[in-house]
Amino acid sequence: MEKATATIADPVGFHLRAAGRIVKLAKTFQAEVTIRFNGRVANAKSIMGLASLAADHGSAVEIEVEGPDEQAATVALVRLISVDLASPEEQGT
Amino acid sequence: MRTLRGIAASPGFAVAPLHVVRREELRVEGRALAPEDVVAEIGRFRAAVAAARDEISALVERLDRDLANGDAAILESQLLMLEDELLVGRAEALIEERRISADGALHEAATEILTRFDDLADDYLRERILDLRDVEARLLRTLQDCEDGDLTPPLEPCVIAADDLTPSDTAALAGGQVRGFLLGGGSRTSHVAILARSLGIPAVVGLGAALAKLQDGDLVALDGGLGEVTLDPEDEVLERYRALARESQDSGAKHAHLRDLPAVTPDDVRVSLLANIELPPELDLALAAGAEGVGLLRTEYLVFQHGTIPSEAEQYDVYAGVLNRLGGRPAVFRTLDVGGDKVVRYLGGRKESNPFLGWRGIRFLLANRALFKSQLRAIYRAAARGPLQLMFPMITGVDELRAARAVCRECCEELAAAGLEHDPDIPVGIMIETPSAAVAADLLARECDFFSVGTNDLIQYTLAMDRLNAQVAYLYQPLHPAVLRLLGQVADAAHAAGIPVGMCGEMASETRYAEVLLGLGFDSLSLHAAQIPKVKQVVRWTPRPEAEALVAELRRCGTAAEAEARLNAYLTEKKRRRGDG
Repeated sequence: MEKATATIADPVGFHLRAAGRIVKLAKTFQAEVTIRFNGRVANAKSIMGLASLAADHGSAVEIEVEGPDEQAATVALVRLISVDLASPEEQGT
Repeated sequence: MRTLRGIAASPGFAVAPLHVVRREELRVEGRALAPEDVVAEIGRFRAAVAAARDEISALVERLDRDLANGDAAILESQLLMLEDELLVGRAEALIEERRISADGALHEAATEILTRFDDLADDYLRERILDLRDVEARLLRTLQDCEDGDLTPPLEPCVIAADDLTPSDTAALAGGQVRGFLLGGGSRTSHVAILARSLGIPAVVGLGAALAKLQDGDLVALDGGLGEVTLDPEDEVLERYRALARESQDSGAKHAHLRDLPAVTPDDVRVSLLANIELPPELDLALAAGAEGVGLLRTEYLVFQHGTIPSEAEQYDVYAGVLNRLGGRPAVFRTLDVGGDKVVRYLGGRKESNPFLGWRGIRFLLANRALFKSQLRAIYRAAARGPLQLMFPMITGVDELRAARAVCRECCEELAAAGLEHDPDIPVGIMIETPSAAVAADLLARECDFFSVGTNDLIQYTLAMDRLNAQVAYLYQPLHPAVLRLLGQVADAAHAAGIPVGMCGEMASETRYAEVLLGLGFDSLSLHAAQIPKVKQVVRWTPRPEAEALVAELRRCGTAAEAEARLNAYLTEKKRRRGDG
């Protein structure tokens, strides 16, 4: 299992749009991805779960990844949450 | 004949029969299943999910083609909900474990999700409830084999009446012959209102329970600018509204010859006529109406249409897109004006006992620096792509203006250090919408590049009248002596300091005040696109000294009623002179 912490770069945190991007990315991996924040837990492949974490901009979320591609998934998700969420989704992704 | 009053959500006139949209109450039965039926029920549920996905995808496509990308984004997140294990996986598990029918399982799963949001009691939550319930209702309809999952766009001209419309309902209806919208719920900022304004369809919202009594086919006359609905109108009223509706439809054609002519008075005083814009699709309407540019770009909807705040880069894309579409015409970007009736609780706003006197406009922005800076950086970067001016809302004094300009400087320094293309020299102006700003206009004029008067708030604050309170609505008096004095004072202060002064409030959109504003010395008026040709006609007919003489007379009136009567006399006389009937 891989564990990592990421600070949310999105200016408003995990609201629907950011959550949607995370879901789309998480679904490209086989691994199970769990995100924890402030005592709440969500599956990263669930948009409502992520949104209900109510994690704001700048808050640190814990990511737990378990599965065959866990390393790649962890790297990709940390990058998305802590860097790429600050800028818009590219067309077609 | 009976008249209902609601919130004026989108201006314009319509006369048409009602098309009442009443969603059947979807019953959730949650029948017990025999063990051997469980597999078939799960299959039925999956088929409903697949059907819902197809329906939503079709709506997304239709919206992408038409307008309002924001709506498409809302529906796209609904697509992800249809893949969400918390909803779909959980419902399937409930069917299996509890042996209840799919509708009951689905409802329970959706309710469980919503309880996760319980501690996040705010507007954001309410919007998500609507989205999730929208998805749930769609699935329930499919499961219960209801006809027309989506409302069919009406083929005959009609006024839609509904308690509320979900984003997907609105999207489905918008394609048809809709002449107007009446809603029981909603506000000026609700989804239907925004869509109606961008489509130029009149709408009255917030009509409350009165709406429930309306019948399909009832003839109504509606005035979206006043928020008035006349039921069972008498012939005379009917004729008047029909003429108004026709006029607003024809005014495009009637004034088409004016489109490319400048708004210049006979004595060569030029007045810029600009458009107020909330959504990108309105830009095309504005340009078609002959707008010289955008005098007020409200950024709230551009920014909030997705229910979240986009990043700097995303905002940059939207802003640069607006400038592109304007093809070299100028645009005044107003930074986020939240608070007041535009509470965004997920941004940290709280319910306030006096929201209009509360944490809004520039106060909010200065306190939410990261958000403010991301918007300013996006605006300064977009400014490299076209003539852009920056404007701050709700300024009450010089200290706020200085603080805001300091943040601007900081952003420009950062952008320069990062080597990002931007234009640090764009004009920076302020809204004059508080009496304090109007009274201290001479001091403010020394430290900014232009003024734009917001009359809705200026009148509300000056006359201490809550514009959302119907009982004091009569006090909305643009010609009140105090308001006229403030307007004159602001224009004079601007000109004494050598900066231009414009108006972007509702008063500028009311054709009857065009001469008054000309006489007061406004250099530019920013209005609803549909009114531009009419106001241009007035400007082209009215020599400035005539307008100034009118203003001098109005300023001698002791009450708003006297001033309105004097204005009426002037307008009637003028009409007679022009032989314009």
